[in-house]
Amino acid sequence: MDAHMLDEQFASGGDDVLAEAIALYGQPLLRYCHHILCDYHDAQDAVQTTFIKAYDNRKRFRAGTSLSAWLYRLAYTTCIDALRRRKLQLFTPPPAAPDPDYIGDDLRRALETLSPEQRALVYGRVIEQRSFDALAVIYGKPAATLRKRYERARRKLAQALEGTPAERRRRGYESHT
Amino acid sequence: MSPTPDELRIRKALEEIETPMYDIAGAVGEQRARRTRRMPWRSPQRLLSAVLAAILLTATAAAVMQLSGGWQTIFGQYVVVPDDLAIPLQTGQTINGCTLTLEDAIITQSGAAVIYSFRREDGRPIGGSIRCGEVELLTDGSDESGGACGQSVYSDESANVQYYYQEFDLTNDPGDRALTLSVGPASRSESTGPLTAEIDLAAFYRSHPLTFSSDEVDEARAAAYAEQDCASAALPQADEFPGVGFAGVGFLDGELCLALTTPPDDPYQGVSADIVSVYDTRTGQNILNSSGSSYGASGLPYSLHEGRFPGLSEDDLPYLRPVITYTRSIPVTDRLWTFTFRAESAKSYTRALDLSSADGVRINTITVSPLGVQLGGTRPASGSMDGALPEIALVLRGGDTIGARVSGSTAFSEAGAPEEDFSASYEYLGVQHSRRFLDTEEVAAVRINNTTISIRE
Repeated sequence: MDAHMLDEQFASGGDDVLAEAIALYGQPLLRYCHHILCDYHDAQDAVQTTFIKAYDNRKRFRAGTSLSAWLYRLAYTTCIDALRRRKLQLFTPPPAAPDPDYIGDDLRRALETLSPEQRALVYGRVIEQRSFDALAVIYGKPAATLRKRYERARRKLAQALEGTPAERRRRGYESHT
Repeated sequence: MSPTPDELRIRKALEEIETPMYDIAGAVGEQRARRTRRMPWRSPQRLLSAVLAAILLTATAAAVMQLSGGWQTIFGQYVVVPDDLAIPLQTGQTINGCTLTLEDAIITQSGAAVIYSFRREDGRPIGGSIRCGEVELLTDGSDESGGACGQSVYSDESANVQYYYQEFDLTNDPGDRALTLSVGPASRSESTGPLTAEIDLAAFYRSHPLTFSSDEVDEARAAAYAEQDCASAALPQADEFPGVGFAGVGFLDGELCLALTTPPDDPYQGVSADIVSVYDTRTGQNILNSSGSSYGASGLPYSLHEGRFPGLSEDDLPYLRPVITYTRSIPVTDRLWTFTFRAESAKSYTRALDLSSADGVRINTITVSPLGVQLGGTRPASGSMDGALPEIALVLRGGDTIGARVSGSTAFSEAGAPEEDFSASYEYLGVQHSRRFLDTEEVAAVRINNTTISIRE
């Protein structure tokens, strides 16, 4: 089943369309959540919750509109929810080495200079290469507003990445070639 | 889209983030099945052991005990937990030398909160690599929760006890019904040091040269590696890490790409591996992985872990050896810790409302429970991406007011629709913004933005 058929059939479908939606969007959504949450296991929880919410509320999805955009929006709110819960752990020291194998410390620090909204926009734009019109459909905001927010996020992240060892290695390499 | 230099740098940096593939469909299916099945939710063996291990407690028998120190450990010294609200249970079970103790619980008409702790039987520090496993709460053998939510963990590697706090939303009043908490099975992770693989990269590359493009999709990259057919490449300690293999060698934008195949992520007993560097036999130097990515393709029973190494060309391949580290999740316990208990539920108030605010937020339902407040309603979809949420405060019977902060929210909207449905959870604030639990008998009214609503019947 392709994306267009899923858009048409998700609202009225059963387990089969859920399986198709997971096959088509599961891994991209997992990556998206991972970039927002900066924690792989939280991202796993978020993507599972996203699909369960989507299935439970599939009647609210309007057939023929973009299921992908709807799922990304659900995943985004699920991530925000997870981050709000995380903030409540005021007296809990962070784990000694969260996700040591998945995100380097320098990159994590750089990403954490951004808000979750900014991380979502940077991911959507830089990794998924979505247009601002496509991002506007997901987030329900005017494309021009998202463009401004993205530009701020891009500048901030580029600045935060300056001076990280990976960046120095890259620049050192570039300067020798 | 034509990327700017900044965007190219950001893209390179973000591509270092590995997101291993795992069985999302299986996990979602299992989670849905647990929510809907009333019959055994685990294998018959696990269910049998759970039943044998079950301990029946009553709140009245436990009432003489003191609350555990877990509340202060997790929420800080200023946390407020009314004595008549939290139930000390303090019952432990030891499995494979690891003791899980169900310390205390707060049971309300709309939810539950538990504190449990993990210790080693030998008293040694826990260390940082233990994962307790999944947690679920059944009511009369059936999952009536919207899933475990709001977990907090106090993590201290040198401590010999680790506390966990877990909240559950419940659809029905659990009062005086059999509540069964199950946790586990636990696992820990262990990594090898770097191991050099004696793989003839030049031979594999010459047999099927791979040049990747930065715009190709993961499926295309995975298919390209599969065509190189590196099944004969020998990895060090391969017998100890089944399912890990050398996927292939190629180039992308002048960078050497080396990849491994690994089994899908399994935090209980899985294996993963990464190429952390390449060893240059000419110089005796290790060239570190400058970026890495991990991805899978739908339908493939494995993940790909790819490392990239700038400044190397085909001419260097005869002198390079991949250096690998493996990580293994090792089961610590072989079954679930399971506790069954009954308790009276503390009062929660649920009301239907029709309350609108100037910013377009409309509130339809409110629940006030000892754990916090939950609101449901609609709001404009074109607001902030994080959505506007009302401010909440509680007016106590004595006239005092206490604040509440958002602890979670969800929203559903149709693409292009002007409004979205939302729900939001709040928790009560105590001294110095610490958490407070509250007997709802003390609450006279709730203030939502500037509107005060009595919750008394």
